[in-house]
Amino acid sequence: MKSIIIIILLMSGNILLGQDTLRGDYRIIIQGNLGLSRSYIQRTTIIDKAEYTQTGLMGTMRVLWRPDHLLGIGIETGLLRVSNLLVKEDANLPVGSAIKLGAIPILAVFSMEKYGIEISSGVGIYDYHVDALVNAEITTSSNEWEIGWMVSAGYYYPLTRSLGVGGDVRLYAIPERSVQLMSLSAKFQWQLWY
Amino acid sequence: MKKQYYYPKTSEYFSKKINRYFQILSRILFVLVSIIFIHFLSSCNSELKVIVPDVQLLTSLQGTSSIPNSSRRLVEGVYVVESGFGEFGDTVILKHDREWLSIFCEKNSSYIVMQSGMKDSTLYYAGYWRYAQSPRTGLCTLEIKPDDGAREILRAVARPQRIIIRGVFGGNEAVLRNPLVLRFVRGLFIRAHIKSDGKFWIIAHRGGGRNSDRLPFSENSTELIKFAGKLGANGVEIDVRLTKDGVPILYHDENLNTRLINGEYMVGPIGNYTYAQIQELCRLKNGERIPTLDDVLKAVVDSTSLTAVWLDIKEIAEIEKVIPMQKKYLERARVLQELGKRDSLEIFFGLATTDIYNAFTAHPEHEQVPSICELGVSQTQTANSKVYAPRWTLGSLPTEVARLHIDNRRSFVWTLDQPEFIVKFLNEGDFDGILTNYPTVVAYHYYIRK
Repeated sequence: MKSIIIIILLMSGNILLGQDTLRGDYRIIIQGNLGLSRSYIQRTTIIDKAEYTQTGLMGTMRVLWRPDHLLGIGIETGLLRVSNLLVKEDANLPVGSAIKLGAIPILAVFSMEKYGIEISSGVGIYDYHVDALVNAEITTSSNEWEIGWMVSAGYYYPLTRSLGVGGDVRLYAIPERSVQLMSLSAKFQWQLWY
Repeated sequence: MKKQYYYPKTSEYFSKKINRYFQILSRILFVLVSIIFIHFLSSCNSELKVIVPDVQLLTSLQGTSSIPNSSRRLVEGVYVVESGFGEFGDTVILKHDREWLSIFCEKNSSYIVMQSGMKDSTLYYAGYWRYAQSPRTGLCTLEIKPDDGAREILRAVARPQRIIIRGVFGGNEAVLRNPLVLRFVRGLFIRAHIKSDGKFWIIAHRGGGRNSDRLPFSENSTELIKFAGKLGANGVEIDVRLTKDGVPILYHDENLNTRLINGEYMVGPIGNYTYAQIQELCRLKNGERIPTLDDVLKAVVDSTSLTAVWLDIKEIAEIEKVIPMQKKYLERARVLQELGKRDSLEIFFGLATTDIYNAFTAHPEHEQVPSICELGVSQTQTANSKVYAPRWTLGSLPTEVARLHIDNRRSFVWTLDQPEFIVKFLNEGDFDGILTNYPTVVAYHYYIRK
């Protein structure tokens, strides 16, 4: 499975970075996003009485290389909050126990920008992790790497030649866990070379 | 001067620009196709739920009483299919597991599991049929009328010359239309082997079978282990792991995953979670709790007629926890056997890796602990294992198996699932047992032999 993904990524890279004799300028762009996400996840845990939260803060960072044509490539990482469970009453788990489910994406991103409108997609892996807290102390922490993808659309408005702001709507997916996250975030962009 | 973002707008580049857009579009398409491909590849565990037919629809068992054990045995045997062979083939095997009657067929690897009862000198059976390797299933009812052999069967003196079983089968509807008629031909095959007392072990993998075969219960669940006898098994192999707080539980994989459990908060190695967390935060795929080894061994001893349990030990740390439990339930089974309440039971400690083998042989009591060794004949002898269990790819190993028999040991081969290989190993090998994901298939090919 992993080898198939590596082959696809290498093939993508090879095609994307293919022959070109007349190259123009390129840019390196750093994007930071901060916003809210809502997860869509099949709830299969049954607790006597618990409070579930599927909305949470998200923050991501993207580094993109934009060559002299439309399509840029880069990497993205960050922190996505998937779901929180707060135990109110249960036979075995202490009342007040909190279980937090989150994901750290590490994605190869393919992005196009024109007239400030940016659309992107990405594939890669997610560090899917859970922390169980009792009295605000982590008693159990566990994680697993899962394959997933992302698509996004957004707008960018330049403030100066190197700085700009904007907004993004993104959909993150971790198919193995049947998890999707929809996020709405503010975007801050810094252009290093131009 | 304002800097150009993209190509400078010169005529030199203009014609290339259109081509370039086409190239870019094709690359985007490639990336999107890759993403869709990855999505389907990583989420290919699409559920194929097999709905077990609602046997409550069948009313034929209402008002019946239990058939005596001595009479049940007389029904067991090889039968020809006089009507219904399109679905179940020419010959079938009938075998009882307590009050349940199972029918094992060659065609379509199908089987029928039925509850039994008697009323007015007639024997009644009601249950469902299904294919072992596909989701086809439906309801079935059968009966043996007094003149078709039931009267003699209930007298339990000797098997009657003539037993005819008549009934109907169909889908999941209350009115069944397809006739099924079976005629007794001969008794079940009994192995003439002095060393094993005629016994042959059909050992069901993961407690009865895998989740991928859509059994009515989840793999490695107490419910499936109780059901394994109805699938033709007289032994089970189960996977033992330790929780964070050292409780031996049944679970196959190292990690908690959606193939085996429901519970979105369970991520990563099972050893990261306490038993209480596992009990509260997840369920097996069909809704059962992940059982402890203690609960399962108790269920095997008290509620099944299984005669062998193969503990697939995954970690060295399990040795100190499992051996006392093994002793406790072997003793419990021995007491019940002396009281005539069950057959003998063997619980084997599985030695699958060199690390576990070394740790086990370092245990002061290892020679008294019944074990199954997968590593080789010499290791089997050194560990004083009762059974050597080679992988099927090693072949029928006639010399090694003969050597083990002389040494009063046995040999179980694993894991045989394909009917042609099962037949080959039964005919060419002298193994004492087969570990399989399809005990119904092994049961057919074993008991049909002459």
